[in-house]
Amino acid sequence: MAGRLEGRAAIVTGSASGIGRATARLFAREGALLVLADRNRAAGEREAAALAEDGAEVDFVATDISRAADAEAVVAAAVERHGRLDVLVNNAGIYPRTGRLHEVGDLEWDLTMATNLRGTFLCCRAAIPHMLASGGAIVNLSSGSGLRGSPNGVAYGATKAAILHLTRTAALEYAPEGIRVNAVVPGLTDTPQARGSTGSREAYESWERRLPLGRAATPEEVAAVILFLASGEASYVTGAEYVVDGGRTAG
Amino acid sequence: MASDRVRALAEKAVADYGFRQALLWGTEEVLSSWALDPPEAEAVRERLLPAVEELPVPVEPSERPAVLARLIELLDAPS
Repeated sequence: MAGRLEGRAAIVTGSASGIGRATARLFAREGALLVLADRNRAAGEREAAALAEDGAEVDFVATDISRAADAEAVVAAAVERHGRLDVLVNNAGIYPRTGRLHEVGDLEWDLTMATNLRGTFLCCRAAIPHMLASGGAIVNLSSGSGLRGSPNGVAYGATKAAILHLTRTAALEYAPEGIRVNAVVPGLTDTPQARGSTGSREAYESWERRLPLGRAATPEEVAAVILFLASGEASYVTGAEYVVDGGRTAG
Repeated sequence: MASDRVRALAEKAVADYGFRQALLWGTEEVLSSWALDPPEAEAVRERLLPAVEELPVPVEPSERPAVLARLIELLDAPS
């Protein structure tokens, strides 16, 4: 049986760990032609090699998405290799837990903006021209921190809120060309980033206990929603925000 | 022997995962903002960063003193 992304050329940024890695693995199982991107060359190459060993068609490009030249290079790699680009998953991001707003340094602010927001913008800008002729799907990773205030994470929350706006606007701008643009809004997910940002196992587990479902999402549970939005099953979904937070925002 | 500034930077990288990410992915900007001199910056690039990249996430509060001590040993080891 053909996979849900059979023969589709897809880029996943931040693919060396967490949600990005789970997405890459799921896309590979569903037949995607993958180009993986991550700043961490060693981990990215390891992951790509493991997927290739399992039979996936996969390339890895060491990428700092906050740099326009890098964003353009990863898109060019996909187009040169596969002659097309169908799916872009903007997953790469960082979460410096910076203290309250008046304690945030220029460096932490700028780095978060550059990676999370500018990086998403740059990858969209590079990818969209290659989707104009035959459509495509873009999935941007936001966060529950983009829906609510997020104490000690003002820079991160601001980028994730802005990604929702970018998503809605791009969805409207490119709907005529059949390019669907959607956002996934994860809550607490069991990733190195989430565990690191809480500072300790105790704080992480305490956060988990406060969630309606009583646990964090697995990266695979978030990847499943990304796959849905990237696939033809979501052919009438654009400009949407899919919250995957175990009920946190329900009330 | 590692300078006080490099030790402070190492301590922050152990305790603060956000800072660790900034150090790993914005190394030159961090080194510049900490006003490290060239030998200090080289010690961070050559000795500290590879070890920081391998740290557990997060470093539990109870484990931080021992982890920091290992990093200082690396920084102080003869080249």
